[in-house]
Formats: sequence, C-alpha cells, structure tokens
Amino acid sequence: MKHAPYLILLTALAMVACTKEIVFSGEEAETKTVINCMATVGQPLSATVSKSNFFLTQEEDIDISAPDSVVVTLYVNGLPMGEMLHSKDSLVSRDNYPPLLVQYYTSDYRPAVGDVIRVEATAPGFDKAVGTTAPLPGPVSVTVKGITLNSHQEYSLENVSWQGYYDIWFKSYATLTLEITDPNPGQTDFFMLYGGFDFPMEQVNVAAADPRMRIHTNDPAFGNQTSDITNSILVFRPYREYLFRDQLFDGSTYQMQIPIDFIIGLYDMADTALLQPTKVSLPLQHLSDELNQYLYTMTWVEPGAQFLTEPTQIHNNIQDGYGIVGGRHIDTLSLTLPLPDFSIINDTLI
Amino acid sequence: MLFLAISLQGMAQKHTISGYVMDAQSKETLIGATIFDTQSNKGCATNSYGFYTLTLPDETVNLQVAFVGYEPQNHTFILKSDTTLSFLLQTNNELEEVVIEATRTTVNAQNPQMGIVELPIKQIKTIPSLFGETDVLKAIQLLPGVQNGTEGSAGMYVRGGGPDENLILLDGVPVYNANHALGFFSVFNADAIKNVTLYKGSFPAHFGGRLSSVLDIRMKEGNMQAYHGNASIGLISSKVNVEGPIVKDKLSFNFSARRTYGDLLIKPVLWIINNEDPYSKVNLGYNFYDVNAKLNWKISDRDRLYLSYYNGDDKLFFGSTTQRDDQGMSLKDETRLSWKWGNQVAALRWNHVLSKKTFMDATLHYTQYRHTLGVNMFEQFDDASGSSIQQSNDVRFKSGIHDLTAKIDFDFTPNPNHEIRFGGNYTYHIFRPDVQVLLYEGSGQNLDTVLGSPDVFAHETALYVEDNMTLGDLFRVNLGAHYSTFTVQGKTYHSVQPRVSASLMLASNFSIKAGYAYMSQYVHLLSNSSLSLPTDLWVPVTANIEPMKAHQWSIGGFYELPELFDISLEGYYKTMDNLIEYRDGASFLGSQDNWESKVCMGRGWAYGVELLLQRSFGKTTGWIGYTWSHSNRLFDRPGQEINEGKVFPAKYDRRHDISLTVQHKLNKYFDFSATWVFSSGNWGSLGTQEYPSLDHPLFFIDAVERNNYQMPNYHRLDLSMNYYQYYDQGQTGCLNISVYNAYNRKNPFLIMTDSEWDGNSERKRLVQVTLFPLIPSISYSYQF
Repeated sequence: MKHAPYLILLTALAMVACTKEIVFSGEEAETKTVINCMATVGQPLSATVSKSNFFLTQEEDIDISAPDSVVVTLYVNGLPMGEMLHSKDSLVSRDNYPPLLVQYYTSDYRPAVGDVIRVEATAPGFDKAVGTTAPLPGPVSVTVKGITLNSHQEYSLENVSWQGYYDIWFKSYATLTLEITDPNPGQTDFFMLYGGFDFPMEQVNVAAADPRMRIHTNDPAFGNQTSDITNSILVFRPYREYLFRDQLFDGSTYQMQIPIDFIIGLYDMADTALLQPTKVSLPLQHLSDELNQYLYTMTWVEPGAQFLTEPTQIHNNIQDGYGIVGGRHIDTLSLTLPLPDFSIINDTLI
Repeated sequence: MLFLAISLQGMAQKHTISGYVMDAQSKETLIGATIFDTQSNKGCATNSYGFYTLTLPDETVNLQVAFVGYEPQNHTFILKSDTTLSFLLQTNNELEEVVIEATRTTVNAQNPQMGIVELPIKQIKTIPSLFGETDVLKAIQLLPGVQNGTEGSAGMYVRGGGPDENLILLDGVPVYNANHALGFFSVFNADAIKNVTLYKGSFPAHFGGRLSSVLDIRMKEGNMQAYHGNASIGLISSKVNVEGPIVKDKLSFNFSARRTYGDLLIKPVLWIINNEDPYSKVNLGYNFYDVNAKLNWKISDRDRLYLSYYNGDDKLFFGSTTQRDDQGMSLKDETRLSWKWGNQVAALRWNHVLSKKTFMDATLHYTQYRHTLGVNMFEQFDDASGSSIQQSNDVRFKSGIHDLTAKIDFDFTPNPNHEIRFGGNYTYHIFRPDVQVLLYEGSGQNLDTVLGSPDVFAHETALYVEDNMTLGDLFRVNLGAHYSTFTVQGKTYHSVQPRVSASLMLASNFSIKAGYAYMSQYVHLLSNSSLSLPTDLWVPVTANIEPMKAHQWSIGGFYELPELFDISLEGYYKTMDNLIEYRDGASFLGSQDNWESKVCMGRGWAYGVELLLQRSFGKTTGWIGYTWSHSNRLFDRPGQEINEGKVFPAKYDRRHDISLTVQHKLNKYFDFSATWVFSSGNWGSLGTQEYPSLDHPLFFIDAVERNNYQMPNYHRLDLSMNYYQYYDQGQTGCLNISVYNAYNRKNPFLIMTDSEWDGNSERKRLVQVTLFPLIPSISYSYQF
C-alpha cells in the first residue's frame, strides 16, 4: 500500500498522457560474451558462458546458439592451465523474454589461496572476453565463542495430530558470539556471512523437519544495515546486510554479537530426552574485492522497490564482455543450537 | 591661493538626498527604480523596500527617476542640505501611445554584478502558461541559464546545479518546496507579487546558504490610497486579490487566495461510477490552495512595519469502501489514502531610517514545510451471531522542516562611491527527514511504533559585509565576504565565502564584467526523480555529510542598444563539491535505514555561455535567451561510487537551450504573447544490454550506466491573447484565451520499454510518455 499514491498518480497521468513508440537513438551497445565464474579456494573451478542481448531485440531475431564454438581458457597466476571442459548447456527461458543459452565449463583445477584466476572466452564473431580475480583470499581465523540462550522463549501449539497429540513449535532467542581476527592488517577485507544453512537430517525421530534459524545482522560490523538472514529463502539472493568488512577491527580481533532465534518442533511429545541439540553449518565467506563489489551492487536490486529509484549498475569486471569472475574462501562454522527449556509447556502436555 | 582653491574644490560640500520611490496611485514602493543625476553622472537604485540614498555635491542637480512601466520624471533643483525627497511615478499603461522610456539608464551597465535578471511582474503575467495559470517560476525558467526539470515541472536547475541549490525567498523568507501539484505549478500567486529578481552568479555577500541561485520575490504591500482587487476564474482554479488602506497613507493590506477545484470537477464522474456498483464506493480528488496576506504600516517617515504571511497546502486523497452482506454476515473493507504537503511562511519586518545615509531592516521570520502520507486500512467482519472482528492498519510517513530566523541588515551609503551593506542572522532549524508511524489494532494484538530518523536540530549563523564601490568614472567593484557557521550533532562547520565582481565601462552603454563567488550550503534535498515530489527530503549536513561548496567564475558583457535592446553575454565556470545523490536502488522508502546510509557524496562541474536579448519597454517586449552548457558529475569516493566512479552527465545536461518570448500590446483592448522554447533532451539511465547473473541464470542483469541515454529534444509553442473591457466605474475585465503546446508537440516526459502484440508475438519497443498535448484554456478576471 505504500506505493498506492504513486499508483494513483500513474493512473491519473495515464488518463492524460499519451505514449508513442520512438526510435532508439543511442549507440547500440554490441552483444558481448558473458562470463560468470566464482572461484572458491579448494573447490573445482567452473564457469558459465553466454551472451548478452540488446534490450529491443525481438525474439525471432535472437540466435539462440550463439556464442558458438566457444573456447574457454583458464590462467592461474598468469600461466595457462588449458581449456576448460564444456560440460553441458542449459536453455534459459523467461516469459516475454527471448531464450538464452548458458554453457557450462569445468576444470579440475582447485584454486589455492593467493591464486589470480583469469578466464578468457573466445568465440567467432565476438571480442575476446577476459575476467580476472584479485588474489584469492585466504582463511579467516574465526571461532564460535558461544551461544547464550536468552531467558525469553516462546512456543505455539499447532495442529492436532490424528493420534490426538499436539505438534509443538519452540522458538528460542540467543546471542551468537563469533570471534574474528583481521586476516590482513592494514588492508580492507570483505566478508559475507551466510550462503545457505545446513541442518543435518538425522534428528527427525523426535524433532520436526525443516528447523529454522534467523540471524540478525545488527552488530556494528555490518554497518547501519540490519536484517534477518533466514534459511527459509527458497532462492538464495544476497542481501547487503550479509556483507561486512573489517574496517571496525582492522589489525585486531573482534567479537561479533549476533542475535539469533531458532525454531524446532516436536512431533508427539514422546521423550524430549531423546532430542539432540540442532547442529548448523554456517558459512563465512572471505570475498575478493571484485566479488564483494558485485554482491554489494546486486543487493541494491530489490524487485518491487525499483519504482522511483535509479537503475542499479551491477559491478562487472569482464573486459570486452559482461559478468563477474570473482573469488572467495569459505570457512564453515559449526554451531550447536542449545535445546529449549521444555518445562515451559509441561502443563499443556498430553 | 591655488592650493586653497584645490583644497576647497576637494572639500566641496556634499549633502544627501534620500527617500522612497513609489507608485503614484497605490503608494506601493518600487524596487530597483533608478535615480540618476545627469550633472554629476552619479546614480543609485532603490533597495528592496523602495528606499534610496544619494550623496551629491552642493550644486544644481538634475535627477532622472525611472522604472520600467512608469513614466520617468525629471527634477532639477539646487542641493544645499540633506534632503528627503520621495517620488511618485505614474504608470504609462493608460496612455494610448506607449512612451518609450527616455532615460535608458546606464545603471545596468554600471552595475558590477552579473547574472542578475529582474522580471517585471506585469511582463510575467503576459507570458502564456499551462492552464492559463500565471507562474513566476515557469517564467524564470525561460531565462538563459535556468532550466526546468521535466515537462511541467517547476523545479529550477540553474547553471548545472540541482533544484535544492536555489534559495527561493518570499519577502526574504526561504520557501523550501515552492511547488503545487507535484511541480506543475508554483506556490506563488502572481497577483500577490510585486517584484521578482533572479541572481545566477556573482552573488552579493548578503546572500548565502545555496550554491546556484537566489530568487528574491517580494510581495505587494497593499494600496495606501484606495481599495482595489482582482478576481479571476479559470479552468482549474480561481483566485482573488484584494488590497487597500486600513488607514489611508498609514496602514494598508494585501490579501490573495487561490484554490483549484479538480476534486469538485471529478465528483460527477465518481457519482456515476459509484452508482453502478452497489457494493463499493470510491472517492478520489486533488486540490491545492494558497493564501498570501500582508500588512504594511507606515509608522512615520523613518519607520515602517510589515507583517507577511503565506500558507498553502496540496492534498491528494483516495478512498474506497466495500461492503457485502450475506446471510446475516457482513464484511466491510475500507481503504483511505491521504497525501498532504505544504508550506507556511510568516515574517515580521521593521524598516528604520537611522540617518539619511543609513537604512536598517530587522526581521523575525518563520518558515515551515510539512509533508504527510497516510494510509489507513480497516476491515470488519460481523458474523450471524453478532460478534465482530476488526482489524485496522494505519501507516503515516512524515517529513518536514521548520526554521526560525532573526536577522538584521544595514545599508550605509557614506558617499556615492560607496554603498556598504552589512548584517547578520541566526536560524534555528528543526529537520524531520523521515518518520514512519505504524499503528495496528486487531486480533488482540496492538502495535504502536515509530520508525525512521529522529528529528535533527541545527543552528546556523551568518555575518556579511559588502561594498559597492565606484572607482573613477569607468570602474565599479562589488567586494564582500559572507561568513557562516552551522552547528549540528555536536559538530560545527565554518565557511568564509569571498564575493567579488567588477564592471568596466568601455562606453556609456557598454561594459564588461567579471565575477567570482564562493558559496556554501548546509541543507540538501534528496530527490529520487525528475518530478518535484513532496516526498523529496530536506536533510541537513551532519557529522558525516559535509556542506556543499561551489566556486563560480563568470565573465561577460552588457550592451544597451538605445531604445532597442539590452544585450548580455555571459560565460561561467562552476565547480561543486560534496553533492549528494541517492545510491543506486535507494529511495525514500524504507525508513528502517537511516537516510545517511542511502546517499553518496561526490562532485560536479558546469560551464556554459548565456546570451540574452531583452526588451522591456515599448509596445513589443520580451526576450530571446540562448544557453550552451555542460554539466557533469563524478562520484568516486571509496564506497560511495555511482556509475562505478566514472564521470556521467547530470540529468539536465542540456547542450542547447533556447527561449523566445514576445508580448505585443496592439491597443488598449488587445495584447498578444507567444513563447517558444527548445532544449536538448534530458538524460536518463537505460539498460541497453541484459545478461544472466552469477547467482542464477533466470535472474537477469541490465547493463546500465548512469544517465547514458538522451531523450528526444523538447520544444513547444504557447500562445495567449488578452481582451480587455473597460467599465464605467474604472473596473477592467480581461478575457484570456491561451493555448499551451500550440502545435501539439509530443514531448517526452519519460521513456520506458514495453511490448505490444503484433498478431504473432510480443514485440518489444521503446516508448515515450507525453504528458501535455495541446491544451487550450480560458479564464476571465475582473479588476476593480
């Protein structure tokens, strides 16, 4: 409803305004090769290659197969590592947009810390597109100092099961303390907390499936942005609230206080003693500069909020092309979420 | 004896003539009227209150007093002592043959300051305008160096600066949002206005606080002799103006009011719509009003007191109610939207003539801009048993600014070679950048919370001194300094701003001029769009957001073709620093984010050449203005990049801008006017290539650069005709017929992509939206 006045304004303007088609008078940017590659330290390298489309190209004029005969070459620290293997193709279709061919390339090479990864894509009829990372970042000294359960807890009684027992959902509040040390004093490092939670599934005997956790990024290290990271997002999209840098603790060790809340549920209150604390794997990504810029600019693109805002310019480090070739290092944090205090609902148990 | 003669010559007695220049009928003071002694070739102009002072040798003086639209006067006498002499000038409107102004003053050529344009209000009223509404800001936008935003917008972009870099003063009081109807009209009712002066460069030291321009608008004081008024009715608005003496020659008033009636005109349509659907009702409307009032009290020959007041509001509202009843159950759904914004301005001013050579003006004034956007949604369900469930959501977004100012100014003219001004002021600011009030009631849960940025309090002070010096017969210099401070959030900013301008007379009617000004600005306007939306936020500098600064150098010439034209040619170069703009993707929505985190700081520069041919007397008046200019921006501070830290053109970087306006008085019954404008297209950001993202191939990215696409050129012809009727008791009726966009040019308001079905597939295309086609209008005014 907050957009309502603008909708009314648009409606009023539409009643008096008229539209007419105009000829695009600008310089038509040529179609270019698109390279997207995320180089993760210790993981096999992969990249996708496709092409851009001029925004007014009609569907029947699109050459879906292009770019054809693409050769993708990998360089590490300036040394050629050979061609990347073309593993598969994917035809991406969207409503009201022409389809696009995305070609996948892989390599057995596993980047190491400090590697400078360069990916080149050549294809007939296209300029050679080149994307280069900064030296890949290294591991970060980060430890989980603890998860302190707050006294406040909540629960709710959900559906009555066919056996006449209740499903009970517990919501607990806690503070996660992470201790992180600046890996490169005097230099700005970029990080992202999150990249998908991982809940082991072996606890389904008494616990509900689909446990949920939210991370509230309101520690000062995240800047003035505060938001909630939740694993209920179906399609991962980066948000700027996940990104932080070490300007607050340059050259030193810093303790981040991160409020979290998490939900676990019980099918039948058979025996809470069997319940195991929920384990969570939380990735902390140490980002290269260009990847950080890409993710940061991507976070400004919020569907539905683009009305009356300037279009967002997404960072692009491909020479004579589009896309991003960036690097990262992932440290996986293991969290063990404490069990809730079940005594709060004893009176309601059947 | 020779030495004695020389010393006596140098010590020749001088005395001062001072007084006021006024309209003979109304006793309204005239601003900028010239008083020139042909014997000594010394002259001056009246100040903003119609006061002048001129010190001359004790000898025969021949004073020529002139003002545009009035018959000049000559007064010859022998000056022996300090003299108070006020002049009452007759208008020359009544004459069948328009008198060409004989005394083409050299004061304009001599004035060292550049970039100054005075527009007579009578001339402004003859310029054809949208829906026939005379608009001061629209007239100003026809001057070289001044550009509007988009079609119909009242925003001003002066010499490459933004809309917030213009200090708009109404009787010396800043007006923060000078727009009605989202910028299609300004808040200034021309019937209440006496004088309009625009400063684009070489700003005198007594002005400060903005980078690009000062628009000084003075209200009428009210007829001291008789009651007069004017009422007019038009297609979308009506207005009335009444002025007259409360005590003749002592106390007068001027009152104007205006209101649109779009909300009334749409009522029949809504009645038809609502009658067709028994279950839902809709209410929709828009209106604005404004009120100007002024009291003028001439306490004595040395003291005057003025009280000015302005209040105006815009309101856009929408409401819908849906109610369905079935089998004893009832569901009611209501939505109300109210969008209001407006200004309130008040000023109490005391003018005191301290001595023949010294004039004092002391003012206390208040200005307020307020904006509220409210949405209320209410649901009620009554079941058959009579129990009821209600839920109400109320969201209000508020922003605004309040200023309370005390200021004092002195005009001291010790001799004709020095006109010294000095003074100071203090302003207490209260900024409300953005507040969201959320109220929720229902289902046993209540929420009452306030989000957003807290109020910010600031203190601003300024001191200035300037001297308008005559150095010999050919050379004049205005030299001054403006010192200001701004204290906010425990931090104090200082700024010393030198101002200098000079003119060199190469002939009696030809001068070259040069100037330099350094300006600081402590408030910013955050704007998301090309429209002057009320949601644009006025925010102060803070501990993190520094004051904007600008240096402007200008050079040019001024030439008067006797009895024909005034020609001015000016070039300028301006640099601006600490400009702010919203980051990519940011908007005023989302108050959980402090506004400071949504903006980037950068710099800009602009340069150009302006040519103005102006004729302001005779049967045919008007001007031709041409501007060639560039305006660029660069936001490359680490972490605050826009356009990836590369230079990009300002949105209104229009290479060519032409305006031609002509008014011709055929006879006492008819006059005609025409305006033709042309400007290069605005710049916008258009993503011309799209490609899949790293995250997911279905998520596409538009490859876009800031302001990378120039829209089609803009040009338009407006025509207007006035037919006058004269009644027995001296009243005058005027029928105005005008046409806006006479050849129905489809000018771009915005561009966008869409698709249309061509029978086989969706064909993508680029379209422009045009806002105003050919619009005729008619209005009638009655003057008594």
